[in-house]
Order: sequence, then C-alpha cells, then structure tokens
Amino acid sequence: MQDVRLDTNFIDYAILVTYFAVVLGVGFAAKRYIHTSLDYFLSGRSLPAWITGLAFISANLGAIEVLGMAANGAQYGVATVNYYWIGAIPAMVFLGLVMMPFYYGSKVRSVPEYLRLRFNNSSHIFNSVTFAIATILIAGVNLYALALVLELLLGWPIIVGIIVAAVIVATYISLGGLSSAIYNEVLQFFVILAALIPLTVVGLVDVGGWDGLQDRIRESSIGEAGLHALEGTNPGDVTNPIGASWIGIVFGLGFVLAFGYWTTNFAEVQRALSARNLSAAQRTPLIGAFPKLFLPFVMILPGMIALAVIPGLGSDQPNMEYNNAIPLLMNEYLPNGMLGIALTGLMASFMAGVAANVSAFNTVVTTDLVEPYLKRDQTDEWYVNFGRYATLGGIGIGIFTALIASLYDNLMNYLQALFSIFNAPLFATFIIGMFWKRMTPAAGLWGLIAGTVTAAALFIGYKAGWIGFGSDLDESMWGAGSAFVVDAAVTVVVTYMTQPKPVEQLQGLVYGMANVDENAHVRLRWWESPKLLGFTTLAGAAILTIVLW
Amino acid sequence: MAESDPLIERTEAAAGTSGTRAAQAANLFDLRRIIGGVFLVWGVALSILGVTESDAEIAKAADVNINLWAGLGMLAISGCFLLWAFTRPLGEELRAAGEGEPSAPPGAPAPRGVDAAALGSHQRSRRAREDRTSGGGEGDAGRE
Repeated sequence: MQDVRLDTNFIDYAILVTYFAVVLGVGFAAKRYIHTSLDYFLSGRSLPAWITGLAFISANLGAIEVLGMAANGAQYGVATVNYYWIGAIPAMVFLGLVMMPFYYGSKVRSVPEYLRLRFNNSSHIFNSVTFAIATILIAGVNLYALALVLELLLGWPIIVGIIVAAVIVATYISLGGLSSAIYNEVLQFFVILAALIPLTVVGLVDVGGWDGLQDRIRESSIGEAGLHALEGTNPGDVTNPIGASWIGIVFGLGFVLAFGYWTTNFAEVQRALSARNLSAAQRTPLIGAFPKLFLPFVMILPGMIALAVIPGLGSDQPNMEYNNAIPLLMNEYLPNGMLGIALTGLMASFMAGVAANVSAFNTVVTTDLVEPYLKRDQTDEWYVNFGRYATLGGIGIGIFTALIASLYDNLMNYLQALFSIFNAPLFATFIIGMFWKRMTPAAGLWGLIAGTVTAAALFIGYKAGWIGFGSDLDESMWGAGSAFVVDAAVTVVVTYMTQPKPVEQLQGLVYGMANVDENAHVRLRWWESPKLLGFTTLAGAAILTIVLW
Repeated sequence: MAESDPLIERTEAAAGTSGTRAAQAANLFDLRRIIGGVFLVWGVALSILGVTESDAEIAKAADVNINLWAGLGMLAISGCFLLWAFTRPLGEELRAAGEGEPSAPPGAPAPRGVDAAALGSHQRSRRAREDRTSGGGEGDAGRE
C-alpha cells in the first residue's frame, strides 16, 4: 500500500492560508460594490470579456473535473481528449455564436427566466425547481469530494473538511454575490494552472518527454490503444479503451450531453450574462474555449504519467484508485513549497465547483421562485438580502447533500447521471423553442416533464437492476439521448394540439427576432470578433483531434 | 415582448437609480493587481525555496529544481499582470470614461460598458460617447 499522506510543512500551510485570506478579502471588497439586485446576481452586467470568459471555464474546473479527467487519462489514455475537443468546444462555440443573442438580448436574469418569457409560468416553475435541486446536489458532490481529498492528503476528518470549505464559500458569496464568485474563479483558474503545469513538467521530464511517455504507455495495461483519440471507434469493431463507437462519442457525448451541459446550465451561462455588453457575452464562452483547447495537456497528461510511474495505479489496493492519480503524483514529485501550491490548486478547484453552483442557486431561488411567485413587489434591497440568506441556506443544504453524495462510490458517474436528467431535456426544449416560433407554451412544459421523467426512470431502472447498460457512463449517454428524443417528440405533438403565443410576444426570444445590442455602434477591434474567435477555436479542436487521431 | 416584462423592468430600473455605471464600477477593485500580488508573494517564496533547495528534494522531482522554476514562472506572470494594471490604471480609465456617461433615459436600458478592466474600450468608443455627452455627468461621477 502506498502512502498518500502528504509531507506538508509550515510553508505549504502558509501558502494555503494566504490563498484563503485573499479569497475572503475579495468577498469583503466586492461587498462595497453591491447596491442593487442586478449587482448582486449579475455583477451589474459590467464585467469585461476576459474576466467572464476565464470565470466561465473556471466554473467548470471543479475538482471532480480535475481529478476525474486525470483518472480518465490513466484509465483510457489519449481518448479522454474527446471530452474536450468533441465533447465541449463545439457546444461552447454554439452557445456563444448562436444562443447568446437570445439569452443576453432578452435581458433575462437567469436561464429559467427565459422559459417564463418564451413559454409560461408553469414551465418556468418546473425548471426553476429542478434546477435549484440539481445545483444543490452538485454543490454537495463538490463539498464531499473536497472533504475526501483533505482526509486523504492531510488526514482531516471528512466532516471538518466539509464545514471549513462550506464556511469559506458561504462567506465570500453571501458578501459579494456573483462578482465575488467570478473574481475568485478567475484567481482560481490561475492557481489551478500554477498547480498543474509544474506537476506535468516534472512528470514529463521524469518519463523522458512525450516519446518516453509513449513507450511507457505501450508497455502499460492500456497499450498502443491508449495513444489514440479516435482510432478503433468504428461501430461493430470498437477497440478504443473508452469503449464507445464514434457515433456514441459524436452524438451522445458531443451533441446531447455537451450541448445540454454547456448551453443550458445556468451555473455556466450566468457568467456570460454578467458581461458588459452582447459582444462580451458572446465572447465569454469563446474565451473560455481557448483554455479548454489546451487543458488536456495539463489534466490528461498527468493521468497518463501517473499510469507510467506509479506501479499498481488502478488496482484494488487501498488508495490506488484512478481518482488519486494527481494526489499520488504530487506526493511522488513535489517538494515543500510547490506542494503547498498544488494543494491550494486542488482546494481552489473544489471551491470553484461549490461556488459556481451556489451563486446560480441563490439567483434562481430569488429571481425565479421568490420574486415572481412567493413575495412579489418587495423593494430591490429586500431581494438582495434574500439572496444572501438563500446563499447561506443553499450551502447549509449542500452540507446535507454532501452526505448523500458520500453514498456513491463513483462521483463522476453520479454527476453525469444528474446532467442526463436535468440538462439533456432542457436542451431539447431550448433548441426547439429558439428556432421554431410555432412551439407552444404547453409544449414547453410537457416536453420538459416528459424528458426529465424519461431520464429519471432510466436512471432508477438501471440502479434497481431492471434495465441493463454496459456501464454507468453508457447509462447516462442513453439517458441523455432518450430524454432529448422524448422531449422533442412530446414537444412537437403537444405543439400541434395547442395554441402558440402571438408572434409579437416573442420579440428577442426566437431565431430571426433577436434584439439589437444597444452598444452595437461600439466598433470592435478585429480580434474581438466573436465569429473569428469561435471558428479559430473550432479549427484548433479539429487540428488537435487529427494530430492525436 | 421581452423588454416590457414587469419583473425585469423593475430590476433594470433599480439598477438605473444607483448612480452611474462609472460610479458603480469604480467600486470594483482591480482584479489584475490581486492576481499579480498573489503570484508576486508566492513567486518570491518559491524562488527563495528553490535557491536554497537541498539535493535530496531536487532528486525527488526528477532532478528538476521545480520550486525555482515555478517561482520564476510565477514572477513572470505576476509581472505581466502588474505591468498591465499599472500601464493602464483603473482610476484614470474610469474617470475618463465616467465623464461621458449619460444618465439612463427612462424606459431605455442603462448604458453598459464602463467597467473596471474594460481598458481601452472607452478609447475606441470615445467618439460615440462624445456624441451622447449631452446627458451630462452625474452628481457622483467624480466619486472614487
């Protein structure tokens, strides 16, 4: 059994404490800026694109992502890049170029609010409630995962880890609202990179560079197949370690799961809604897509290096789970000092995952549930205060859902199942609602309900053993796919049975009727063009995929 | 139509009454300095550790003095952020941008676009702003 407990000293703790102090300081500083509810929930729609873009990608860089992608790198090798270049970037570009004009142009304050304007109150309530539940479950997953790592690396008891992280996140978000969350996310982005880049460099030097790593992977358990992104994915002849054909990868992962996650998950979209104008909002996911192109080199590579240098990784010996690839590498290579930075990077990424979800939760609870339906016509100040209590309440429930998450042994798969239930049907409703003016309010509600119930039923059936799937991941791909199809079918049928909204009520909400940006006369410099950014990123993803084919 | 939604309108109106965007944005602190500062402190600490590193620690990290290299890398990043923050300082940008910021006409969405790190944006849009200056500066536009 390999010892995973880190050999930390006061320097490492000093680095960690500095970081916590800065994070809390940002919360207090941001508080001075909060005057209205728009400031608290959407940063007054004042942020520049580089800040919202980095926050956009950072909100996704929760530690489950960091640890999970390294784990996949060790388990599947290079094929893990499909989660990035096929499974994320096209969706991010689509969000920026096609969907953002409707989100930002209609001035909605949240993703569910779009449903209220486009459809009706009942679909809005349904989505707001399911979204609030989903975010709080996901925040709980992050809290629990954080506590697991703290226990493993530092020996802190699980409950202490959960509470320390919860208190810090609760403090800076209840004080500074979204600005504080976003500023800290940008800082977190750089801290996470500062942790991962040196770790990857040392590991690569140790295995003799990329050539040396390739040799070591060929000798390892995954062999030559672990060095290719898409080779061996022909249907009927699947030899790729990921075990899926290219049809599954492109449509299941690349289309339904990825588009569902990136384009309708308010925890992501909220970052773009806080941008200062439509152009900045469009560029938010596109600027986020640039780091996404290169993140595999510091997230998947460490996993592959761990497979090469840590004997017994992935075996059933204690502490040798794939999820521990990065902690094991930290222990293997890093001296005190750098160790503190890496530990801080891990903490930062966990807090990013909790904070992104909690800041989306407080906005949806306040502006989508309390303001329209429960406590109408309060002062703007009242809603800001309510948002603060919602933050504290959300984190309180998050501690409880962290305990639920502790019942699952594979957190990444638990998360994918949540996305298949909550995001995949939503994406179908959005995409049809945005492009088809005829789609009726009733179809919005019933499509969502049918899709959500379908995915939930498959998940329950699989867990109860009534329906068999190849793997957990296979279940979520099928769950997402069928939720999408059922939602779309019900939407079409109900639309033809009910009355559509008068077309003049759809201004700014549907394709062909986007609101014109009031800042459109501000001429952009050529490198600020959303189209240029979007297509450059897509080309980059295509080239990288072909290089590693 | 979306713009006439009463709930959204109230939020926008409340946002429009709390001073100019410039005055609000002036309260936003400069994130570039925070990132620069954190990496400056860590960079110095790691570099010192790196210079005084024992051979055993270096051998552990595949013969790379990773504290030193990471420290120097952090100092470089810190330098970039601080240089950016000091060559295009926040206060000056905001004052210049705030003077031209008109107040929101009733019913119209408040103009966005003045913000902490939107450096240079007011320069390229200055001509547009000058066209709109007739709205005049707000009473608290000079607040810092």
